[in-house]
Amino acid sequence: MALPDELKAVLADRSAPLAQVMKAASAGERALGEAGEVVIGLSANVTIDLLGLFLRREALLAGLRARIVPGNYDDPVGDAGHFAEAGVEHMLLLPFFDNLLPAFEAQLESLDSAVVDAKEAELRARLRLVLERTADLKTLWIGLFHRRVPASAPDSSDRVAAIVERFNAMLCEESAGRANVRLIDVGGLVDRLGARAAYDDRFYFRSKAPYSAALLDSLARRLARSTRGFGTYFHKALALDCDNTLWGGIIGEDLLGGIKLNPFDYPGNIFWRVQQRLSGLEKSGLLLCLCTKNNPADVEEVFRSHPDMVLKESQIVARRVNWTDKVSNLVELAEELNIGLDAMIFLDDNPVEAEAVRARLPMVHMVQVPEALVDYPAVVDDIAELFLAGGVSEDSRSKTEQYRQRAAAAQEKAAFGSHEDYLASLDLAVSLRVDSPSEIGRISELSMKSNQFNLTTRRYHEAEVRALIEDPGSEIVTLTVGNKFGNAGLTGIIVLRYEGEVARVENFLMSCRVLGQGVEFAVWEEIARRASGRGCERIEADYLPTAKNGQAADFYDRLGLALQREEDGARHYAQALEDFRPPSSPWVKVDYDG
Amino acid sequence: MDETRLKQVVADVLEVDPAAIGPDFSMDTVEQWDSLRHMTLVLSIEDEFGITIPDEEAADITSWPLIRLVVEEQVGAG
Repeated sequence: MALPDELKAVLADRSAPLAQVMKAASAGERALGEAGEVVIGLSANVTIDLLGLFLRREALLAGLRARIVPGNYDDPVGDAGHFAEAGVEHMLLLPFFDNLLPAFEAQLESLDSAVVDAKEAELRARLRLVLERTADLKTLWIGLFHRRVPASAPDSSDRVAAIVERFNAMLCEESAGRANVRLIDVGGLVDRLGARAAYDDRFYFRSKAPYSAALLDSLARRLARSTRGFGTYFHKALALDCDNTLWGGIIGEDLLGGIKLNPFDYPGNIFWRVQQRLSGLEKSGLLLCLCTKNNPADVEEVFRSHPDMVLKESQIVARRVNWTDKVSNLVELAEELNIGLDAMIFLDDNPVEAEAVRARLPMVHMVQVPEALVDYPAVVDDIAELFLAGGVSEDSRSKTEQYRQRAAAAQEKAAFGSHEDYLASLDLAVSLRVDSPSEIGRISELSMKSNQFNLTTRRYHEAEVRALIEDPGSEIVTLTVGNKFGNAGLTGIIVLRYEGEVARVENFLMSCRVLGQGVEFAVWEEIARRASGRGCERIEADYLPTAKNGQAADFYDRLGLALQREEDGARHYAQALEDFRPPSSPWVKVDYDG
Repeated sequence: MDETRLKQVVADVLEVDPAAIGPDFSMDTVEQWDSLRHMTLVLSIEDEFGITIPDEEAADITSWPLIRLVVEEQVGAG
């Protein structure tokens, strides 16, 4: 089924209010039914959820339903693994520079260069693992690093700029030669919108969501373009009208001396610039043809004799210069070039012709010269984007080669054979503290905030935390996680109640930003030892489902507890302590603090 | 301020029936209203009414009465 016109209109309208876009996207997906689906995984170290909505919009405009698979926080290697299981075809890897470490840009001026080197090596190692795991995907988009805060130095050559450049060179080196990788210039999108419109600091500081809706919308568009509408189009030829498209004025009336194409005067400079751009596109492989209502001799004269003409006759592969209607001419051109009409773009200034083409040849991508000529170069940029699709041009091909060589020469110390080797290199450490009154506030706060990795979603007010700490029959164990880059603070809680021979886990929760590194398993040996020390023989635990904690549903199974019974999704586990063998994560150092 | 329009935006973003929105309608009572959805909600309201909700309020408008209050203020101020 096709997308109803009224929904298409809302989705195509870039200034439609967000709520309407959401509604139209859901309605559109229902209307498309079981039509083609595209599965997209999003992996980032910041919150970019709204990008999912905009990707769904782009997919719908291409006639597809997008299924968005969210990643975990800053876990690209884990994401790459679970995306493959979820059937992801296109994965976005978007590392946000300023959040590589807390306030990274602000830290950089005073940060030891060894730490920066270590960070680069870590990023390189992770990227290699991601690349390894994504070889079968259709696309791996990698967002290039860019700064958040403009340089305060007047010459903008500060350390942040230097490190951004260095890290980007690393991304290019590592991904060189990988055909399915598309490097996305996110900073360029920010520049185009302007920093003020591209960032929303309210949500950056509170929710680690740096980008505005406008930026994420333009990013979604860029991603869709880079895959040629998720593989729904492939433009090969551009048909060009002549008068008021390649030059200003009408050659049949204004004559050779009267048309506007002088690079030094308005509006000639606009047409001259457009021709330069088209000429560049021709050199990267776009087929140019003419489809115009003129006397052939007039057009020939401009191509041969106009001093400012940029395009050469040799760059035009086919032409229909006559007084026949454009629809018939386009059909003939497609036949002559042996391409489908859906592989053609047509550029014309005449609204009537444009309308006729849109109505009768909807598969042709119709582009109209804008009424305000100053917008014309940007429209041609759009055509370039449609055609180039992140493909490799001659120039960037040699660059790719260059990068490939540098990558080969890059130090091998960044290479890890496995995810575990990588984890081992992080020097992960978790320190456990039991019944620590100084942490009451933080414990309560974490219990209120954690939704996803929260086994029973029981919340604790400060007074309840205090009572648990003071009660000799119960314990609160806190997990403070750190690695060689710093300390993530108190990021997990285990609440235990000792009931005779049973050690009952009343709740276990962790902040999502430290999941996936094995910490959630590493601590249980200590917990078991502690319970045995108090004379317990059995450990019991529950998982209670909520709308948000689905990812933790099988955690106790994976931990090695035996499922006793399950009702309405609630799962009850028990295990004799002497048979309890939690999976080992030897790369995590566990220590008791008090 | 057009309360029906505001209700419609809230309903669209949170995927509920506008009739369900009343004094008790809040982040605590609406399951799908999590912090991510909240961000979308704030942005959608701003979009709809052409206003900018200041940082503190943006974080705090976690119930229908608070949303109405803050939007009224902002629309009035604009």
